[in-house]
Amino acid sequence: MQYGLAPGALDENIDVQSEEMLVNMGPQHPSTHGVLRVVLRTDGEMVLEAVPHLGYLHRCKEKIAENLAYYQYIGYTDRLDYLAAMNNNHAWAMAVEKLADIEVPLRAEYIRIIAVELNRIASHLVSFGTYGLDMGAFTPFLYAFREREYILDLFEQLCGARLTLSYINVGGVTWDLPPLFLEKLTEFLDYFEPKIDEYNDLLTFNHIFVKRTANVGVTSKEQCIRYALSGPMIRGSGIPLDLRKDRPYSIYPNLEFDVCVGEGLKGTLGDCWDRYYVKMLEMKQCIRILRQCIKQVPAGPFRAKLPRNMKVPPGEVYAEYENPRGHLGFYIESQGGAVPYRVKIRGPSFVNLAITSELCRNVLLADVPAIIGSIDIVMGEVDR
Amino acid sequence: MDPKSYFKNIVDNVTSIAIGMKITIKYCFQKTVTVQYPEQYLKFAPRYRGIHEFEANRCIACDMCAKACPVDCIYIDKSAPRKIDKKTEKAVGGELLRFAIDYSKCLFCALCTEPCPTDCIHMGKLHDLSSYSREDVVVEFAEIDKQNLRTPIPLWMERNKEKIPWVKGEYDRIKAGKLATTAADIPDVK
Ligand code: SF4
Ligand code: SF4
Repeated sequence: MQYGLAPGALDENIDVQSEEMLVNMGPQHPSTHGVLRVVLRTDGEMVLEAVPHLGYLHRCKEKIAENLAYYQYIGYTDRLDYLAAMNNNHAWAMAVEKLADIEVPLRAEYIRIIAVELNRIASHLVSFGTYGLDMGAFTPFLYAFREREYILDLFEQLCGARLTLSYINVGGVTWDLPPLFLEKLTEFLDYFEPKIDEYNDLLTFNHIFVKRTANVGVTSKEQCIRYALSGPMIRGSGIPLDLRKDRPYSIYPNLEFDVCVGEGLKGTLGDCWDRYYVKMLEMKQCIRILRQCIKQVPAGPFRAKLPRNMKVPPGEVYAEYENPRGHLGFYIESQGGAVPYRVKIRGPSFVNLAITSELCRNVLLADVPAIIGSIDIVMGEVDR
Repeated sequence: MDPKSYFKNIVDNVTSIAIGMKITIKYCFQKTVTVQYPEQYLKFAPRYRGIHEFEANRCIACDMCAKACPVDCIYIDKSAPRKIDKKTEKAVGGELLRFAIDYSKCLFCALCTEPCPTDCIHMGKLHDLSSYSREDVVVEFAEIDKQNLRTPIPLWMERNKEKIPWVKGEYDRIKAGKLATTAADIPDVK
Protein backbone atom coordinates (compact mmCIF):
# COMPACT_ATOMS: atom_id res chain seq x y z
CA MET A 1 0.00 0.00 0.00
CA GLN A 2 1.19 3.44 -0.86
CA TYR A 3 1.16 6.03 1.86
CA GLY A 4 2.05 9.04 -0.22
CA LEU A 5 -0.49 11.21 -2.01
CA ALA A 6 -2.00 9.21 -4.79
CA PRO A 7 -1.38 11.14 -8.00
CA GLY A 8 -4.60 12.34 -9.57
CA ALA A 9 -6.77 10.23 -7.29
CA LEU A 10 -10.01 12.01 -7.98
CA ASP A 11 -13.21 10.58 -6.71
CA GLU A 12 -16.27 10.98 -8.88
CA ASN A 13 -18.68 10.74 -5.96
CA ILE A 14 -17.51 13.98 -4.45
CA ASP A 15 -18.62 17.08 -6.27
CA VAL A 16 -16.09 19.55 -4.89
CA GLN A 17 -12.48 18.54 -5.33
CA SER A 18 -9.71 20.18 -3.42
CA GLU A 19 -6.14 19.26 -2.73
CA GLU A 20 -5.56 15.95 -0.99
CA MET A 21 -3.95 15.97 2.38
CA LEU A 22 -2.44 13.31 4.60
CA VAL A 23 -3.57 13.55 8.21
CA ASN A 24 -2.07 11.59 11.06
CA MET A 25 -4.70 10.64 13.57
CA GLY A 26 -2.91 9.31 16.62
CA PRO A 27 -0.88 7.80 18.21
CA GLN A 28 -1.76 10.51 20.73
CA HIS A 29 -5.27 11.28 19.50
CA PRO A 30 -7.80 10.88 22.34
CA SER A 31 -10.32 8.97 20.26
CA THR A 32 -7.94 6.30 18.99
CA HIS A 33 -8.15 4.54 22.37
CA GLY A 34 -4.51 4.08 23.09
CA VAL A 35 -1.60 4.28 20.78
CA LEU A 36 -3.19 3.55 17.43
CA ARG A 37 -2.07 5.67 14.53
CA VAL A 38 -4.37 6.04 11.58
CA VAL A 39 -3.09 7.73 8.44
CA LEU A 40 -5.97 9.42 6.67
CA ARG A 41 -5.90 10.58 3.07
CA THR A 42 -8.40 13.38 3.09
CA ASP A 43 -9.98 15.60 0.51
CA GLY A 44 -11.51 18.45 2.42
CA GLU A 45 -13.86 16.83 4.89
CA MET A 46 -13.93 13.49 3.08
CA VAL A 47 -11.68 10.63 4.04
CA LEU A 48 -10.63 8.74 0.94
CA GLU A 49 -8.49 6.19 2.65
CA ALA A 50 -7.53 5.22 6.18
CA VAL A 51 -4.58 3.01 7.05
CA PRO A 52 -4.14 1.90 10.68
CA HIS A 53 -0.57 1.58 11.90
CA LEU A 54 0.20 -0.66 14.84
CA GLY A 55 3.13 -1.59 16.98
CA TYR A 56 3.46 1.27 19.42
CA LEU A 57 2.67 -0.98 22.36
CA HIS A 58 4.46 -4.15 21.33
CA ARG A 59 5.90 -5.96 24.35
CA CYS A 60 6.78 -9.42 22.98
CA LYS A 61 4.09 -11.19 24.97
CA GLU A 62 4.28 -14.35 22.91
CA LYS A 63 8.05 -14.62 23.23
CA ILE A 64 7.96 -13.97 26.98
CA ALA A 65 5.63 -16.95 27.39
CA GLU A 66 8.36 -19.25 26.14
CA ASN A 67 10.47 -18.53 29.23
CA LEU A 68 7.84 -18.74 31.93
CA ALA A 69 6.12 -21.58 33.70
CA TYR A 70 2.44 -21.86 32.88
CA TYR A 71 1.19 -20.41 36.16
CA GLN A 72 3.63 -17.48 35.94
CA TYR A 73 2.26 -16.25 32.64
CA ILE A 74 -1.05 -15.26 34.24
CA GLY A 75 0.37 -11.89 35.23
CA TYR A 76 1.18 -11.19 31.61
CA THR A 77 -2.23 -12.14 30.28
CA ASP A 78 -3.67 -9.38 32.49
CA ARG A 79 -1.87 -6.88 30.37
CA LEU A 80 -3.16 -8.09 27.02
CA ASP A 81 -6.68 -6.74 27.14
CA TYR A 82 -6.26 -4.71 30.28
CA LEU A 83 -9.94 -3.87 30.52
CA ALA A 84 -10.88 -7.52 30.73
CA ALA A 85 -8.06 -9.09 32.71
CA MET A 86 -10.25 -11.81 34.23
CA ASN A 87 -11.34 -13.01 30.83
CA ASN A 88 -7.75 -13.28 29.66
CA ASN A 89 -6.73 -15.13 32.80
CA HIS A 90 -9.60 -17.51 32.27
CA ALA A 91 -8.75 -18.13 28.64
CA TRP A 92 -5.12 -18.89 29.45
CA ALA A 93 -6.05 -21.13 32.37
CA MET A 94 -8.51 -22.99 30.15
CA ALA A 95 -5.90 -23.52 27.46
CA VAL A 96 -3.39 -24.93 29.93
CA GLU A 97 -6.01 -27.10 31.59
CA LYS A 98 -6.98 -28.53 28.23
CA LEU A 99 -3.35 -29.23 27.43
CA ALA A 100 -2.47 -30.82 30.76
CA ASP A 101 -5.85 -32.46 31.28
CA ILE A 102 -6.60 -30.83 34.62
CA GLU A 103 -9.95 -31.20 36.29
CA VAL A 104 -11.22 -27.95 37.79
CA PRO A 105 -13.46 -28.14 40.89
CA LEU A 106 -17.05 -27.06 40.30
CA ARG A 107 -16.91 -24.25 42.84
CA ALA A 108 -13.89 -22.81 41.04
CA GLU A 109 -15.83 -22.85 37.77
CA TYR A 110 -18.66 -20.88 39.34
CA ILE A 111 -16.31 -18.36 40.94
CA ARG A 112 -14.63 -17.97 37.58
CA ILE A 113 -17.86 -17.27 35.77
CA ILE A 114 -18.87 -14.74 38.42
CA ALA A 115 -15.51 -13.00 37.99
CA VAL A 116 -15.48 -12.99 34.20
CA GLU A 117 -19.07 -11.85 33.80
CA LEU A 118 -18.45 -9.00 36.23
CA ASN A 119 -15.44 -8.07 34.18
CA ARG A 120 -17.48 -8.24 31.01
CA ILE A 121 -19.81 -5.63 32.50
CA ALA A 122 -16.84 -3.47 33.54
CA SER A 123 -15.35 -3.72 30.08
CA HIS A 124 -18.61 -2.87 28.33
CA LEU A 125 -19.03 0.08 30.69
CA VAL A 126 -15.69 1.51 29.62
CA SER A 127 -16.57 0.90 26.02
CA PHE A 128 -19.93 2.64 26.47
CA GLY A 129 -18.43 5.56 28.37
CA THR A 130 -15.57 6.22 26.01
CA TYR A 131 -17.79 5.86 22.99
CA GLY A 132 -19.97 8.63 24.39
CA LEU A 133 -16.80 10.62 24.90
CA ASP A 134 -15.81 10.14 21.28
CA MET A 135 -19.23 11.36 20.21
CA GLY A 136 -18.92 14.47 22.35
CA ALA A 137 -21.00 13.38 25.33
CA PHE A 138 -18.96 13.72 28.49
CA THR A 139 -21.52 12.89 31.19
CA PRO A 140 -22.14 9.21 30.37
CA PHE A 141 -18.43 8.61 30.71
CA LEU A 142 -18.48 9.73 34.34
CA TYR A 143 -21.54 7.63 35.07
CA ALA A 144 -19.97 4.58 33.49
CA PHE A 145 -16.82 4.98 35.51
CA ARG A 146 -18.77 5.47 38.71
CA GLU A 147 -20.42 2.08 38.25
CA ARG A 148 -17.20 0.48 37.09
CA GLU A 149 -15.60 1.65 40.31
CA TYR A 150 -18.06 -0.49 42.28
CA ILE A 151 -17.05 -3.51 40.23
CA LEU A 152 -13.38 -2.75 40.81
CA ASP A 153 -14.09 -2.53 44.54
CA LEU A 154 -15.60 -6.00 44.35
CA PHE A 155 -12.49 -7.20 42.53
CA GLU A 156 -10.32 -5.63 45.19
CA GLN A 157 -12.11 -7.64 47.83
CA LEU A 158 -11.88 -10.73 45.69
CA CYS A 159 -8.21 -10.62 44.77
CA GLY A 160 -6.59 -7.44 46.01
CA ALA A 161 -6.08 -5.72 42.68
CA ARG A 162 -8.26 -3.48 40.61
CA LEU A 163 -6.95 -3.70 37.09
CA THR A 164 -4.23 -6.31 36.71
CA LEU A 165 -6.13 -8.96 38.54
CA SER A 166 -4.17 -12.25 38.16
CA TYR A 167 -6.99 -14.00 39.94
CA ILE A 168 -7.96 -16.99 37.84
CA ASN A 169 -5.07 -19.39 37.70
CA VAL A 170 -4.36 -22.83 36.31
CA GLY A 171 -6.47 -25.35 38.21
CA GLY A 172 -8.97 -22.94 39.73
CA VAL A 173 -8.82 -19.52 41.34
CA THR A 174 -6.13 -18.17 43.64
CA TRP A 175 -8.33 -17.27 46.61
CA ASP A 176 -11.75 -18.37 47.72
CA LEU A 177 -14.65 -15.91 47.76
CA PRO A 178 -14.24 -13.53 50.68
CA PRO A 179 -16.96 -13.53 53.35
CA LEU A 180 -20.17 -11.72 52.35
CA PHE A 181 -19.00 -11.37 48.76
CA LEU A 182 -22.14 -12.85 47.22
CA GLU A 183 -24.32 -10.54 49.31
CA LYS A 184 -22.35 -7.52 48.15
CA LEU A 185 -22.58 -8.75 44.58
CA THR A 186 -26.36 -9.07 44.82
CA GLU A 187 -26.51 -5.58 46.25
CA PHE A 188 -24.47 -4.27 43.37
CA LEU A 189 -26.63 -6.01 40.77
CA ASP A 190 -29.79 -4.56 42.30
CA TYR A 191 -28.21 -1.14 42.17
CA PHE A 192 -26.81 -1.56 38.68
CA GLU A 193 -29.76 -3.02 36.80
CA PRO A 194 -31.87 0.17 36.67
CA LYS A 195 -28.77 2.15 35.73
CA ILE A 196 -28.66 0.51 32.32
CA ASP A 197 -32.04 2.00 31.46
CA GLU A 198 -30.72 5.33 32.62
CA TYR A 199 -27.78 5.03 30.24
CA ASN A 200 -30.18 4.18 27.46
CA ASP A 201 -32.15 7.35 28.14
CA LEU A 202 -29.03 9.39 28.51
CA LEU A 203 -27.06 8.26 25.50
CA THR A 204 -28.42 5.32 23.51
CA PHE A 205 -31.66 6.97 22.37
CA ASN A 206 -30.31 10.49 22.45
CA HIS A 207 -31.19 12.02 19.12
CA ILE A 208 -27.80 13.60 18.51
CA PHE A 209 -26.01 10.38 19.34
CA VAL A 210 -28.28 8.38 17.04
CA LYS A 211 -27.67 10.87 14.23
CA ARG A 212 -23.93 10.50 14.68
CA THR A 213 -23.86 6.70 14.75
CA ALA A 214 -26.83 5.29 12.81
CA ASN A 215 -26.11 4.42 9.17
CA VAL A 216 -22.40 5.04 9.78
CA GLY A 217 -19.81 2.33 9.28
CA VAL A 218 -22.24 -0.29 8.04
CA THR A 219 -20.74 -3.79 8.08
CA SER A 220 -22.60 -6.34 6.03
CA LYS A 221 -22.89 -9.96 7.09
CA GLU A 222 -20.71 -10.99 4.20
CA GLN A 223 -17.99 -8.51 5.21
CA CYS A 224 -18.11 -9.78 8.79
CA ILE A 225 -17.41 -13.30 7.68
CA ARG A 226 -14.77 -12.24 5.17
CA TYR A 227 -12.87 -10.37 7.87
CA ALA A 228 -13.44 -13.08 10.54
CA LEU A 229 -14.90 -10.53 12.94
CA SER A 230 -16.17 -11.62 16.31
CA GLY A 231 -17.80 -10.37 19.44
CA PRO A 232 -20.14 -7.35 19.35
CA MET A 233 -18.80 -6.54 15.87
CA ILE A 234 -20.33 -9.61 14.27
CA ARG A 235 -23.40 -9.72 16.54
CA GLY A 236 -24.09 -6.11 15.66
CA SER A 237 -24.46 -7.22 12.06
CA GLY A 238 -27.10 -9.74 13.02
CA ILE A 239 -25.07 -12.95 13.15
CA PRO A 240 -25.63 -14.64 16.53
CA LEU A 241 -22.09 -15.93 16.98
CA ASP A 242 -21.22 -16.36 20.62
CA LEU A 243 -18.84 -19.08 21.75
CA ARG A 244 -20.55 -19.26 25.11
CA LYS A 245 -23.56 -20.69 23.25
CA ASP A 246 -22.05 -22.18 20.12
CA ARG A 247 -19.12 -24.07 21.62
CA PRO A 248 -19.89 -23.84 25.32
CA TYR A 249 -17.06 -24.13 27.80
CA SER A 250 -16.89 -24.12 31.58
CA ILE A 251 -20.39 -24.12 33.11
CA TYR A 252 -22.13 -22.08 30.43
CA PRO A 253 -24.34 -25.02 29.36
CA ASN A 254 -25.95 -24.85 32.83
CA LEU A 255 -26.77 -21.17 32.53
CA GLU A 256 -29.58 -19.47 30.73
CA PHE A 257 -28.94 -16.39 28.67
CA ASP A 258 -29.70 -14.97 25.26
CA VAL A 259 -27.29 -14.01 22.53
CA CYS A 260 -28.01 -10.37 21.66
CA VAL A 261 -27.85 -9.36 18.02
CA GLY A 262 -28.29 -6.06 16.23
CA GLU A 263 -31.58 -5.48 14.47
CA GLY A 264 -30.99 -2.26 12.62
CA LEU A 265 -33.30 -0.46 15.00
CA LYS A 266 -32.20 3.07 14.19
CA GLY A 267 -30.80 2.68 10.72
CA THR A 268 -29.14 0.00 8.68
CA LEU A 269 -28.33 -3.40 10.12
CA GLY A 270 -24.70 -3.50 11.20
CA ASP A 271 -24.07 0.19 11.70
CA CYS A 272 -22.16 1.75 14.60
CA TRP A 273 -25.32 2.18 16.64
CA ASP A 274 -26.16 -1.53 16.38
CA ARG A 275 -22.70 -2.53 17.52
CA TYR A 276 -23.00 -0.18 20.43
CA TYR A 277 -26.48 -1.32 21.39
CA VAL A 278 -25.48 -4.98 21.43
CA LYS A 279 -23.12 -4.17 24.29
CA MET A 280 -25.86 -2.46 26.26
CA LEU A 281 -28.08 -5.52 25.81
CA GLU A 282 -25.25 -7.84 26.76
CA MET A 283 -24.81 -6.13 30.10
CA LYS A 284 -28.35 -7.18 30.99
CA GLN A 285 -27.55 -10.76 30.03
CA CYS A 286 -24.44 -10.63 32.23
CA ILE A 287 -26.62 -9.63 35.15
CA ARG A 288 -28.89 -12.57 34.38
CA ILE A 289 -25.94 -14.97 34.35
CA LEU A 290 -24.56 -13.53 37.58
CA ARG A 291 -27.88 -13.92 39.38
CA GLN A 292 -28.04 -17.58 38.37
CA CYS A 293 -24.45 -18.16 39.48
CA ILE A 294 -25.11 -16.60 42.88
CA LYS A 295 -27.96 -19.05 43.42
CA GLN A 296 -26.06 -22.08 42.20
CA VAL A 297 -22.53 -21.69 43.51
CA PRO A 298 -21.71 -24.95 45.37
CA ALA A 299 -19.41 -25.56 48.32
CA GLY A 300 -16.13 -27.36 47.84
CA PRO A 301 -12.51 -26.71 46.98
CA PHE A 302 -11.65 -23.67 44.88
CA ARG A 303 -8.44 -24.95 43.40
CA ALA A 304 -7.26 -28.28 42.09
CA LYS A 305 -4.21 -29.74 43.81
CA LEU A 306 -1.32 -29.27 41.43
CA PRO A 307 2.40 -29.78 41.95
CA ARG A 308 4.35 -26.55 42.08
CA ASN A 309 6.65 -27.49 39.20
CA MET A 310 3.88 -28.77 37.01
CA LYS A 311 5.12 -30.73 34.02
CA VAL A 312 2.91 -30.60 30.98
CA PRO A 313 2.86 -33.48 28.48
CA PRO A 314 3.96 -32.74 24.91
CA GLY A 315 1.20 -31.74 22.57
CA GLU A 316 -0.58 -28.77 21.18
CA VAL A 317 -3.83 -27.10 22.00
CA TYR A 318 -5.99 -24.25 20.82
CA ALA A 319 -8.50 -22.86 23.30
CA GLU A 320 -11.16 -20.42 22.17
CA TYR A 321 -12.80 -17.99 24.47
CA GLU A 322 -15.51 -15.35 24.22
CA ASN A 323 -13.86 -12.18 25.45
CA PRO A 324 -15.93 -8.97 25.73
CA ARG A 325 -14.44 -7.98 22.38
CA GLY A 326 -14.70 -11.28 20.56
CA HIS A 327 -12.87 -14.55 20.18
CA LEU A 328 -9.72 -14.74 22.18
CA GLY A 329 -7.64 -17.77 21.34
CA PHE A 330 -4.52 -19.20 22.92
CA TYR A 331 -2.53 -21.70 20.92
CA ILE A 332 0.06 -23.50 22.99
CA GLU A 333 2.59 -25.96 21.76
CA SER A 334 4.35 -27.93 24.46
CA GLN A 335 7.31 -30.24 24.07
CA GLY A 336 6.96 -31.44 27.63
CA GLY A 337 8.52 -29.75 30.64
CA ALA A 338 7.54 -26.74 32.64
CA VAL A 339 7.50 -24.04 29.95
CA PRO A 340 5.63 -23.82 26.63
CA TYR A 341 7.54 -24.19 23.40
CA ARG A 342 5.46 -21.67 21.51
CA VAL A 343 2.43 -19.55 22.33
CA LYS A 344 0.28 -17.79 19.79
CA ILE A 345 -2.43 -15.38 20.77
CA ARG A 346 -5.43 -14.60 18.62
CA GLY A 347 -6.54 -11.20 19.81
CA PRO A 348 -10.09 -10.16 18.96
CA SER A 349 -9.26 -6.46 18.76
CA PHE A 350 -6.44 -7.15 16.35
CA VAL A 351 -8.65 -9.08 13.97
CA ASN A 352 -11.54 -6.64 14.27
CA LEU A 353 -9.26 -3.71 13.54
CA ALA A 354 -8.51 -5.07 10.09
CA ILE A 355 -11.81 -3.81 8.75
CA THR A 356 -11.01 -0.16 9.57
CA SER A 357 -9.63 0.65 6.14
CA GLU A 358 -12.69 -0.71 4.43
CA LEU A 359 -15.18 1.05 6.70
CA CYS A 360 -13.35 4.38 6.65
CA ARG A 361 -13.49 4.80 2.90
CA ASN A 362 -15.35 7.82 1.56
CA VAL A 363 -16.73 8.86 4.92
CA LEU A 364 -16.67 12.22 6.63
CA LEU A 365 -13.73 12.98 8.86
CA ALA A 366 -16.04 13.22 11.89
CA ASP A 367 -17.27 9.68 11.25
CA VAL A 368 -13.83 8.16 11.65
CA PRO A 369 -13.84 8.38 15.48
CA ALA A 370 -17.38 6.95 15.43
CA ILE A 371 -16.24 3.96 13.41
CA ILE A 372 -13.00 3.32 15.30
CA GLY A 373 -14.80 3.75 18.61
CA SER A 374 -17.47 1.24 17.66
CA ILE A 375 -14.85 -1.35 16.73
CA ASP A 376 -13.85 -1.05 20.40
CA ILE A 377 -10.19 -1.93 20.33
CA VAL A 378 -7.78 -2.21 23.22
CA MET A 379 -4.28 -1.51 22.03
CA GLY A 380 -2.66 -3.73 24.64
CA GLU A 381 -4.17 -6.65 22.84
CA VAL A 382 -3.70 -5.45 19.29
CA ASP A 383 0.05 -5.05 19.68
CA ARG A 384 0.63 -7.64 22.40
CA MET B 1 -34.74 18.71 3.67
CA ASP B 2 -38.48 19.19 3.82
CA PRO B 3 -39.83 21.47 6.56
CA LYS B 4 -41.69 18.69 8.34
CA SER B 5 -38.64 16.58 9.04
CA TYR B 6 -36.65 19.72 9.76
CA PHE B 7 -38.94 20.66 12.63
CA LYS B 8 -39.24 17.07 13.78
CA ASN B 9 -35.47 17.01 14.02
CA ILE B 10 -35.48 20.06 16.26
CA VAL B 11 -38.22 18.65 18.48
CA ASP B 12 -36.39 15.33 18.81
CA ASN B 13 -33.20 17.12 19.75
CA VAL B 14 -34.83 19.23 22.39
CA THR B 15 -36.66 16.25 23.91
CA SER B 16 -33.54 14.12 24.15
CA ILE B 17 -31.61 16.99 25.71
CA ALA B 18 -34.44 17.46 28.21
CA ILE B 19 -34.36 13.75 29.09
CA GLY B 20 -30.63 13.94 29.61
CA MET B 21 -30.93 17.07 31.73
CA LYS B 22 -33.56 15.44 33.90
CA ILE B 23 -31.16 12.62 34.74
CA THR B 24 -28.25 14.94 35.38
CA ILE B 25 -30.24 17.30 37.58
CA LYS B 26 -31.35 14.37 39.70
CA TYR B 27 -27.70 13.73 40.50
CA CYS B 28 -27.06 17.38 41.37
CA PHE B 29 -28.75 16.86 44.70
CA GLN B 30 -27.26 13.51 45.60
CA LYS B 31 -24.29 12.61 47.71
CA THR B 32 -21.00 12.78 45.84
CA VAL B 33 -19.28 9.48 45.21
CA THR B 34 -15.75 10.88 45.08
CA VAL B 35 -13.53 11.64 48.06
CA GLN B 36 -11.08 14.49 48.48
CA TYR B 37 -7.79 12.64 48.44
CA PRO B 38 -5.36 13.14 50.23
CA GLU B 39 -7.30 14.60 53.16
CA GLN B 40 -9.79 11.77 52.95
CA TYR B 41 -8.96 8.32 51.72
CA LEU B 42 -10.65 5.07 50.90
CA LYS B 43 -10.02 1.95 52.93
CA PHE B 44 -8.20 -0.87 51.26
CA ALA B 45 -9.73 -4.31 51.05
CA PRO B 46 -8.04 -6.84 53.36
CA ARG B 47 -6.55 -8.66 50.40
CA TYR B 48 -5.12 -5.54 48.78
CA ARG B 49 -1.86 -6.28 46.98
CA GLY B 50 0.51 -3.40 47.61
CA ILE B 51 4.21 -3.08 48.33
CA HIS B 52 5.46 -6.14 50.21
CA GLU B 53 5.89 -6.51 53.92
CA PHE B 54 8.79 -8.72 54.83
CA GLU B 55 9.77 -10.29 58.13
CA ALA B 56 13.51 -10.78 57.83
CA ASN B 57 13.86 -12.56 61.15
CA ARG B 58 11.81 -15.48 59.85
CA CYS B 59 13.19 -15.69 56.32
CA ILE B 60 15.38 -18.72 55.70
CA ALA B 61 16.63 -17.38 52.35
CA CYS B 62 15.42 -20.45 50.52
CA ASP B 63 14.93 -18.64 47.19
CA MET B 64 11.46 -20.08 46.70
CA CYS B 65 9.90 -16.64 46.28
CA ALA B 66 12.58 -15.52 43.83
CA LYS B 67 11.99 -18.64 41.73
CA ALA B 68 8.23 -18.12 41.66
CA CYS B 69 8.54 -14.51 40.56
CA PRO B 70 7.76 -14.17 36.85
CA VAL B 71 9.97 -11.10 36.37
CA ASP B 72 12.91 -12.13 38.61
CA CYS B 73 12.78 -8.98 40.68
CA ILE B 74 13.67 -10.49 44.06
CA TYR B 75 17.39 -10.57 44.90
CA ILE B 76 18.50 -12.72 47.84
CA ASP B 77 21.96 -13.23 49.29
CA LYS B 78 23.03 -15.08 52.43
CA SER B 79 26.33 -15.92 54.10
CA ALA B 80 25.40 -19.46 55.17
CA PRO B 81 22.28 -21.67 55.26
CA ARG B 82 19.55 -20.46 57.55
CA LYS B 83 16.85 -22.47 59.21
CA ILE B 84 13.95 -21.96 61.56
CA ASP B 85 14.63 -22.46 65.25
CA LYS B 86 11.66 -24.45 66.51
CA LYS B 87 11.59 -22.77 69.95
CA THR B 88 11.71 -19.09 69.05
CA GLU B 89 10.29 -19.46 65.51
CA LYS B 90 13.09 -17.21 64.31
CA ALA B 91 15.52 -18.00 61.53
CA VAL B 92 19.02 -18.85 62.72
CA GLY B 93 22.27 -19.73 60.98
CA GLY B 94 23.96 -17.54 58.39
CA GLU B 95 23.23 -13.90 57.92
CA LEU B 96 20.68 -12.60 55.42
CA LEU B 97 22.98 -10.27 53.49
CA ARG B 98 20.50 -8.97 50.98
CA PHE B 99 16.81 -9.20 50.33
CA ALA B 100 15.78 -6.65 47.75
CA ILE B 101 12.75 -6.24 45.51
CA ASP B 102 12.96 -4.11 42.42
CA TYR B 103 9.66 -2.25 42.22
CA SER B 104 10.31 -0.94 38.76
CA LYS B 105 9.79 -4.54 37.63
CA CYS B 106 7.32 -5.97 40.13
CA LEU B 107 3.88 -6.92 38.79
CA PHE B 108 2.17 -7.15 42.21
CA CYS B 109 0.96 -10.59 41.26
CA ALA B 110 1.42 -12.13 44.76
CA LEU B 111 2.99 -15.28 43.31
CA CYS B 112 5.96 -14.83 45.66
CA THR B 113 3.82 -15.05 48.78
CA GLU B 114 2.40 -18.47 47.93
CA PRO B 115 5.42 -20.78 48.13
CA CYS B 116 7.13 -19.20 51.17
CA PRO B 117 7.64 -22.04 53.70
CA THR B 118 7.80 -19.71 56.71
CA ASP B 119 5.10 -17.32 55.53
CA CYS B 120 7.27 -14.26 56.03
CA ILE B 121 6.57 -12.28 52.86
CA HIS B 122 3.18 -10.63 52.48
CA MET B 123 1.50 -8.12 50.23
CA GLY B 124 1.13 -4.86 52.17
CA LYS B 125 -1.13 -1.87 51.91
CA LEU B 126 1.25 0.74 50.49
CA HIS B 127 0.46 1.62 46.90
CA ASP B 128 2.81 4.46 46.16
CA LEU B 129 6.59 4.48 46.23
CA SER B 130 7.50 7.48 44.15
CA SER B 131 11.13 8.51 44.30
CA TYR B 132 13.59 10.74 42.56
CA SER B 133 15.78 8.08 41.03
CA ARG B 134 15.45 4.65 39.60
CA GLU B 135 17.76 3.19 42.23
CA ASP B 136 15.45 4.32 45.01
CA VAL B 137 12.64 2.02 43.92
CA VAL B 138 14.82 -1.01 44.65
CA VAL B 139 13.90 -1.64 48.24
CA GLU B 140 16.55 -3.32 50.41
CA PHE B 141 14.37 -5.16 52.87
CA ALA B 142 17.33 -6.60 54.82
CA GLU B 143 18.62 -3.05 55.37
CA ILE B 144 15.35 -1.51 56.48
CA ASP B 145 14.80 -4.44 58.83
CA LYS B 146 17.74 -3.12 60.86
CA GLN B 147 15.58 -0.05 61.56
CA ASN B 148 12.75 -2.37 62.58
CA LEU B 149 10.69 -1.60 59.47
CA ARG B 150 8.70 -4.26 57.63
CA THR B 151 8.02 -2.10 54.62
CA PRO B 152 9.66 1.10 53.30
CA ILE B 153 8.48 4.56 54.31
CA PRO B 154 7.81 6.51 51.14
CA LEU B 155 8.66 10.19 50.70
CA TRP B 156 5.07 11.39 50.65
CA MET B 157 4.42 9.77 53.99
CA GLU B 158 7.50 11.31 55.54
CA ARG B 159 6.48 14.75 54.33
CA ASN B 160 2.77 14.74 55.09
CA LYS B 161 2.65 12.91 58.39
CA GLU B 162 2.26 16.11 60.42
CA LYS B 163 -0.41 17.55 58.15
CA ILE B 164 -2.82 14.70 57.54
CA PRO B 165 -4.08 12.50 60.39
CA TRP B 166 -4.51 9.24 58.47
CA VAL B 167 -0.99 9.50 57.06
CA LYS B 168 0.30 9.90 60.61
CA GLY B 169 -1.56 6.75 61.60
CA GLU B 170 -0.02 4.77 58.78
CA TYR B 171 3.41 6.21 59.52
CA ASP B 172 3.21 5.20 63.16
CA ARG B 173 2.14 1.70 62.22
CA ILE B 174 5.07 1.21 59.87
CA LYS B 175 7.51 2.78 62.38
CA ALA B 176 6.34 0.34 65.02
CA GLY B 177 7.07 -2.51 62.63
CA LYS B 178 3.48 -3.76 62.58
CA LEU B 179 2.04 -5.61 59.61
CA ALA B 180 -0.99 -4.29 57.79
CA THR B 181 -1.95 -7.75 56.66
CA THR B 182 -2.54 -10.63 58.97
CA ALA B 183 -2.67 -14.29 58.09
CA ALA B 184 -6.46 -14.20 58.44
CA ASP B 185 -6.77 -11.65 55.63
CA ILE B 186 -4.95 -13.75 53.10
CA PRO B 187 -6.26 -17.30 53.36
CA ASP B 188 -3.90 -20.18 52.93
CA VAL B 189 -3.53 -21.27 49.33
CA LYS B 190 -1.20 -24.21 49.63
S1 SF4 C 1 10.33 -17.94 50.21
FE1 SF4 C 1 10.10 -16.95 52.20
S2 SF4 C 1 11.72 -17.87 53.46
FE2 SF4 C 1 12.22 -18.35 51.33
S3 SF4 C 1 13.58 -16.65 50.70
FE3 SF4 C 1 11.50 -16.06 50.13
S4 SF4 C 1 10.78 -14.87 51.86
FE4 SF4 C 1 12.56 -15.99 52.57
S1 SF4 D 1 4.47 -9.64 43.47
FE1 SF4 D 1 4.95 -10.88 41.68
S2 SF4 D 1 6.36 -9.63 40.48
FE2 SF4 D 1 6.30 -8.75 42.54
S3 SF4 D 1 8.00 -9.68 43.63
FE3 SF4 D 1 6.19 -10.94 44.04
S4 SF4 D 1 6.23 -12.52 42.46
FE4 SF4 D 1 7.62 -10.91 41.79
